[in-house]
Amino acid sequence: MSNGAQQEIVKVPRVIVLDLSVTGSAIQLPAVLTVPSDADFEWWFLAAFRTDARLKVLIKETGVGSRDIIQTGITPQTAGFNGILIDNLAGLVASNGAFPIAVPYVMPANRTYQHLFTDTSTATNVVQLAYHGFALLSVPAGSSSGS
Amino acid sequence: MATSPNAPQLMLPRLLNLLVNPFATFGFPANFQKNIYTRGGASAYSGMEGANPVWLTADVTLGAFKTARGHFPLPYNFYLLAFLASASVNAVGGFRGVLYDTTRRLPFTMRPCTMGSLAGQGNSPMFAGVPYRVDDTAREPKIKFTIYNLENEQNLIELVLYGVQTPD
Repeated sequence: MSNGAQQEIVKVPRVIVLDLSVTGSAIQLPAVLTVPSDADFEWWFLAAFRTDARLKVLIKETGVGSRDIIQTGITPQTAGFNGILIDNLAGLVASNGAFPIAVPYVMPANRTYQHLFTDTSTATNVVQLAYHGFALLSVPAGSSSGS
Repeated sequence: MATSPNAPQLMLPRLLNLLVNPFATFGFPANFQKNIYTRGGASAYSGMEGANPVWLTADVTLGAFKTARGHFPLPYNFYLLAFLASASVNAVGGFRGVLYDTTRRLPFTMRPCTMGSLAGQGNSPMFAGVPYRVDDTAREPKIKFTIYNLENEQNLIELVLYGVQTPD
């Protein structure tokens, strides 16, 4: 095999988890999800756990992409826009409720995704967002049994 | 006896008479509303690689029996895939909504549609089998909405368009 050996992509199942406690009545509490550096991540499903449904979230891709994944959908927006209610975003895998994002989206290695949480329950809200997909691992061609 | 090429296709009425549509087994039979990924791992929307997901969220607080009107300003190259909706009070149906494509001048709902019949939530979305590209040759592509609160008290209502934005 030459040094310019061809590479192939092995899709390794991976779940990237954002895990935090949102204090009661917090407004746009930030939390950052960073894609691991070893491989790009291909996002397929989103699952969400929360202890209270009165929680909103904004998600923004930073860096080169710099795009809002959750956007305000109303003009004019009369009140401060704090995002989508978490139950409209996704449910639990255990309840067959994971949200398929329909077109898998590749999140580059090392890229960060800004999350802003707003709680209106007044109590601490334990939250997990689980991004299900695959690490796109680049390996020399023929070194894996399959992809 | 040789079969004439013009003979009627006897197979067709047999298929129609089946109680279970044999084609309904494509995708994941566990939840037809979420049939997005086909068996073997591909997306039902192949050819849209590189698209990024977008949730467009109308978030309004309405008094009893009040109506709100507005529009979703759409990003370019936006393909509509699903509606999502919720209401903080849902004793008699939450709200009714109408959606209207201003560019093509066509309503998505022929009559006001009750929240639960129009859309699910993140754990129960219903995806359109064919992605709908809003005509963005218009200067400002948008989808208008009218929401009517069915409840006799203040209601926090969310109506969401889910879709993807393809690269230029």
